[in-house]
Amino acid sequence: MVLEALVSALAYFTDLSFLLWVMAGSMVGLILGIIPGVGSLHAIILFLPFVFLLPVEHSIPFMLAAMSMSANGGSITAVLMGVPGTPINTATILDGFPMTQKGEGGRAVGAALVCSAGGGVISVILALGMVIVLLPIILAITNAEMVFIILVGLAFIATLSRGSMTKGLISATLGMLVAFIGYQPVTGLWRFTFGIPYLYDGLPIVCVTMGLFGLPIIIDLATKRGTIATAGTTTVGMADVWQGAKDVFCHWWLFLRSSVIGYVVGVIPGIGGETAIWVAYGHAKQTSKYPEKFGTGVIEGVIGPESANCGREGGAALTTMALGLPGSVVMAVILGGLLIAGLNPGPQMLRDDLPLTLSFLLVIAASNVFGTSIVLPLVSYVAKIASVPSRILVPLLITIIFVGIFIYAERVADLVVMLIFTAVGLAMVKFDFNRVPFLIAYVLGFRFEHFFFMSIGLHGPLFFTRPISLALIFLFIMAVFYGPISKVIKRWFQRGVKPQ
Amino acid sequence: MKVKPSSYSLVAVMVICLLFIGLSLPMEYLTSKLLPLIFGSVGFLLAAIELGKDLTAKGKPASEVPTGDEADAMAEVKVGVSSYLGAVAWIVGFFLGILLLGFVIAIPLFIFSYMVTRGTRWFVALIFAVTTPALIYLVIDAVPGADLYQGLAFRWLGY
Repeated sequence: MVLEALVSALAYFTDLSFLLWVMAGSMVGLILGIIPGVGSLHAIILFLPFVFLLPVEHSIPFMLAAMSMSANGGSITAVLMGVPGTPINTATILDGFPMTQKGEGGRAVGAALVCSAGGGVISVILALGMVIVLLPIILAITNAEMVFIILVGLAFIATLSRGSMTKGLISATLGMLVAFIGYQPVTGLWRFTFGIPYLYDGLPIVCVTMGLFGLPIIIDLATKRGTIATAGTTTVGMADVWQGAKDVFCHWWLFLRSSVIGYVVGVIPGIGGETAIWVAYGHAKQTSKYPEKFGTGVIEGVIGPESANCGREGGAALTTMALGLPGSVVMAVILGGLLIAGLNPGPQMLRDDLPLTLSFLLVIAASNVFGTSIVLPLVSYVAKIASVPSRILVPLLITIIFVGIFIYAERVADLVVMLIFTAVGLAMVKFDFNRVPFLIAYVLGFRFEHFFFMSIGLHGPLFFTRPISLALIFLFIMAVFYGPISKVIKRWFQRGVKPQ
Repeated sequence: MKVKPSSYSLVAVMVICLLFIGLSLPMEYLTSKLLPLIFGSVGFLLAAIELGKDLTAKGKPASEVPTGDEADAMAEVKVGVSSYLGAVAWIVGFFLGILLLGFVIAIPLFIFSYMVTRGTRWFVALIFAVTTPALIYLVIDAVPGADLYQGLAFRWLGY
């Protein structure tokens, strides 16, 4: 069944318009990823309001391709200028920029780009393998299990993300409450609308997302006057770039292990890309013959994190599409795009649209290969994009955001909602509330309520006694209470051990 | 017991949760009010616990210790409040410009004035101010039925 669906998925790639949108997404992601401060999130958020204008076979591949290539673009600035294009290129700077300073920038960039592309391909192969193995289990998931999958996912995201665990859970709770604004999925009655017709359908995902994440990042960019990337160089020799590409094949085993590390981290919701790159960097250092040289400019210090940062993409996309559980804000936006496009992420999407789902996974691999093969010979020119000053970028990005939000439904009220959530987003950052659980809970809230009452309707109030549900409840309890309980136990033991 | 700034945010959360609980209670059907009541109560409880920790913590509470931000969030840059307020003011001003004058006039005005005040040469700013709306209109034209907001001023003038 999966193999037949895979063949049907490959058929999408024979459509020229499909390929053109993948290529366009790759280029947009690459360019936005190169600009420090503007990453994969912006690459897809800017496009989110336009999703409904295109068929789903074009809009989602565009977003996935943009997401994939933005990390590749970010590695260029990380290596050549010592500034991460995206947060998940931070570890690459440790050895990539020193290599540039030693005159080996081209080699580091070549290695980074090939690793990124290869990591993306490896992660898609692993994801496809996981689909084949887990498809019967995923298809056995019912509404009852979906309730607890969402709760477990939110608990993981709230507790594993940075910052206070309690505040993460508070953010998730608030996101759920905001999701309840509008009509209730079972009764169809309106809640918390105060008689305002605009609120009858709830708050638009694009406005909440753009407000929470889009504009605050632009505001931050606006406060950085001048060019963000000032050090380093944009000139690299092609011979060095190809040497770097060859280095990846010389270190193929490290590349494979790092890609798998990235994939495993990507599958687990809540553990961000930053964890994957640092775990991979640490692993590369520990397994190197010359660990003391890390940080001075060694090629393994580039191969490890760059393989992992794209290695996580397939796993994260699989969790989002197969379980309907986004593990990061980028994936939450992708999920939002899938919902706007009329798809139903989760087991139903695998049941009803398996070829389309598999084609989305293949897009990640294809965009990495395509984008890297285009950018490798043009690295020196492409890197200059990072020198565009923020005073040019900021008004253009703000304009695109406002136009995009208005075009979505042609309502000025959407702009107002976006501005309100911009204020909310800034306040959340100021008071150290993690915005990621809020957004993910908001995106999942309506579906959660739907699954909850469907489960009660089909299985009765004891729907949680099903075996998979019980296992998920156990995971939820562990995720939420493990930290505080282990602290209490530790303190208790420390009190019991008296100093001599 | 010292009240820290983050404590006020937790009080605000508690008020929001109480609001949701208060609005849910009079609802007619259990299916309508059950989940808002549950999540409102959980949120209130969590905020109360965190507030208690904040108020009784010695020194800087964990919630105020600067930790790394979420992966896709803003970078940690120490800039003054005035810079942030300035950026926010530009965005609010742009919105008001759209509301009053419409996208056609607001976009070039915003782009030109922002770039010039930030040190861009006026003819470079002018090029961006002219080409950006032109490109936007090309894109909008390709979308059937899409139209940009004309602004209240034009409506008042009868257009």
